[in-house]
Amino acid sequence: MDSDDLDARIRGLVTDAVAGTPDAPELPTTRAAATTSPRRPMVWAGLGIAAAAALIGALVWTGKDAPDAIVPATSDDASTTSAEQAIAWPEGVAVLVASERGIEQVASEGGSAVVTRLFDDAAVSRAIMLENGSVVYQRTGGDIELLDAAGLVPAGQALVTDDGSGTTTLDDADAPNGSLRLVYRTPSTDPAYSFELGAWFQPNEPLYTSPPGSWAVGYRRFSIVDDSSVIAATTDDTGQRSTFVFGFGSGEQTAPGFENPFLVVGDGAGSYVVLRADGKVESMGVRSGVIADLGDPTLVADLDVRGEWMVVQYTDGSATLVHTADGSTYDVPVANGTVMLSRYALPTTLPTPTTVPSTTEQPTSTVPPALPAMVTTGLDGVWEYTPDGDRVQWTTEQVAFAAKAPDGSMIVQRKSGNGEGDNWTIADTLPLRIASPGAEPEDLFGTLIPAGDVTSGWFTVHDAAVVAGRPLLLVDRQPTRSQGIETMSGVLLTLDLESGSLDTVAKVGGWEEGVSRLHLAENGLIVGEWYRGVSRGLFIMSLLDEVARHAEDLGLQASYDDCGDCPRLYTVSRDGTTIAWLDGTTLVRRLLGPEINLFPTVDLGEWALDATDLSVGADVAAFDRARTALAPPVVLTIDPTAATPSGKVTSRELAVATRVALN
Amino acid sequence: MMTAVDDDVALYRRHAAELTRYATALVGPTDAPDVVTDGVLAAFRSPAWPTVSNPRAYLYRAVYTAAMSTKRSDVRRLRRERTVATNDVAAAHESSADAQRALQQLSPQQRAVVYLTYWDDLTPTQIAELLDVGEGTVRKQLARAREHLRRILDGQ
Repeated sequence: MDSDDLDARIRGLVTDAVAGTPDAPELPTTRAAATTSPRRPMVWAGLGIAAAAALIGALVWTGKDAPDAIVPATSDDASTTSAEQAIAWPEGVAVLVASERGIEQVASEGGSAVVTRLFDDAAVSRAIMLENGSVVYQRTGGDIELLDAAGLVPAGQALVTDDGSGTTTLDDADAPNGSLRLVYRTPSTDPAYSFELGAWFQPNEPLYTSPPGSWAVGYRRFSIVDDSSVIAATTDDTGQRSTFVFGFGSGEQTAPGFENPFLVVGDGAGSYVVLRADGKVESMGVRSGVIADLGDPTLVADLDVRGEWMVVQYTDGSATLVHTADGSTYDVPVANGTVMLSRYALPTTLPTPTTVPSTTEQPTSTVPPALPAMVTTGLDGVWEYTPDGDRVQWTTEQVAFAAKAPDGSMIVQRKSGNGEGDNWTIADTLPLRIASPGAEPEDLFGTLIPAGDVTSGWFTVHDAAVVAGRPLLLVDRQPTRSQGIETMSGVLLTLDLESGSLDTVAKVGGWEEGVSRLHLAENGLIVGEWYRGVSRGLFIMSLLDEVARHAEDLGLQASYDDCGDCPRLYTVSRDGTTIAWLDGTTLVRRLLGPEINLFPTVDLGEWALDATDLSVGADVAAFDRARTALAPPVVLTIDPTAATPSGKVTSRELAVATRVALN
Repeated sequence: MMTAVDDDVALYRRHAAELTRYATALVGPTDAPDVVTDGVLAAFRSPAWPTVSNPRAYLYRAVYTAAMSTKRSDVRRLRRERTVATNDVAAAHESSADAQRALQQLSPQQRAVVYLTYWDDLTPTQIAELLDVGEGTVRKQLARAREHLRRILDGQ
């Protein structure tokens, strides 16, 4: 096709494309009407489920026998729930309860059980929170679906589609290495067989097809033992109870030596746990020995075990959380559902309120620290923790990032960065402004700079702060792949949230290079990490051209090459006085001034190895972990008066959340 | 007495048809009215609006920005549009849908440049002024769009 032919055909293409142009819309005829014209509701990428899955908000359970006592956990409710009413619940442990109500999570807030409804669009038969905060669940009699915490797939993504008979059964799931393991049963396509045991990672190749015959119908729930085997208790047609272990991949089928078991479950880490006829719960495998005594085994409907924690589901609909290491128990405050432990890392020791760490540098949950002013994002939407201890939900939508704007609004972003090859578009990355809690998100660019930005690209919102009296949003824009990799250089922009002025402050990104999340301070400092190939280092610049800072000023190298344990996650406090980073698991802080002073370093423990973003304030730090598919964010408070070198650190995991940003 | 609002309304009426056609090229006929409404209202609300020297160009850019923020699904929209089409116009809709599908494979900026080049017969210089981008950017985007469309059309 020569050039003229091409032009002619494109002209025809455009003519066809606009042939169906509708009539021009009528506009409101007054400016008042125009300014109050309702905008179309923004459509959430997940549509069906996430939008409909209005997260009702946190609920505080105030009494096991008084369902009406569930009250919305507004700040007042949370703060005024009296100690004698509250149900105790251990820090760092969460369970999901699937029921006709949907999905509820039970977690700890200040040592008390807090129930958060994650999903109420349909009845759910089983729900399991994975290591990264995502939730695998099955609609009762329906599909097995995924609420993806990382937002990488649309919320409500169907993993296993029921054949319409309503007989597919979700049995177990986890994601120990970020790779989902899902075990389910579905009716066999061959009527001679009773069911096929499937796995999500081999959806078309059943792990196992049960043999024909009536004895096979008595399988209880299959649960994951380790990387290559699942286990279930069985009952044959004579009533004889036994155990069935199925090995797959390179795993071997090895029957444990349990006799006449009522229940057998795997703990996902290499151990079998059996409920014996005498009511004792015995573990074999990586761990061995009797770990609990439950009394009459006929009253137990199911067990779920992870680490030292076990949930006991009773036939009357109640459930109990058991810490098998010391025998302490906690009533699950919502009944008549299927209860499963969250799969993310659970604490191995219980909080010991009277013990202050003296020699260990591992942070402990001695007394739950007061939470700082911050914003969290996660499956339960966007929450603001205010300086006076209130907790306010801004939106139920699951967003990629949220930051409190200086004008009191909330800036959110549904997806962050380049989604080419994934299932989101540039439009998903445009920053949105929520004027007040519960308000409809508005397109920020469309409101502030309706004609000011015509360059398409992928946006990442980094931070927001008042700098020299200007409320600024820090955002970068990277080009689309179609613009050519040879010109792939993005820009770092500040958007004035009042005037709409959009200014380019630096070039960032490009082919195999970019920056981490950048933090904006009120003195104009922008701090984060740059990377270029295998090299990375401190990104630091000032919007106000004050004293230039360099990596060397802070005791850092200008560049670290191909380094697995070099300093990382550089950040700056909101007031700009403190620059911090992680060196291994150590939090390093530098107080800026005419001279740079050193804070004592604080060892955050091994979980800091999984940190993906760090925020610091005055004696407080917070870091994300979920984006490495391991665990929710952690907030740390640091006691500067502590005598130990590591300082006294208290910590709190923010279950359900995936990201945290200190205000 | 004419007010600023009356001026705005009059201005909009002068350009409403072309803006809607432009929006149709960017996002398709279903979303075009909403995109025009959003873009034009945002422009009128902007603090910069009273000082804008080229209102038509500003409105084009505002519509483009609104189009950027429109969440859309080509497949769903095209299916919907086929569904509502009557038999008499089904063929025309099919042709339009195919054209939309081809255009949607371009970046938003390339769609804008292609439309303004092939429908409005604007030069790269004029397009650069209208969209407030460099002329080199327009030429580059047009070249890439043509190459992309050549591959699509060759494959048909």
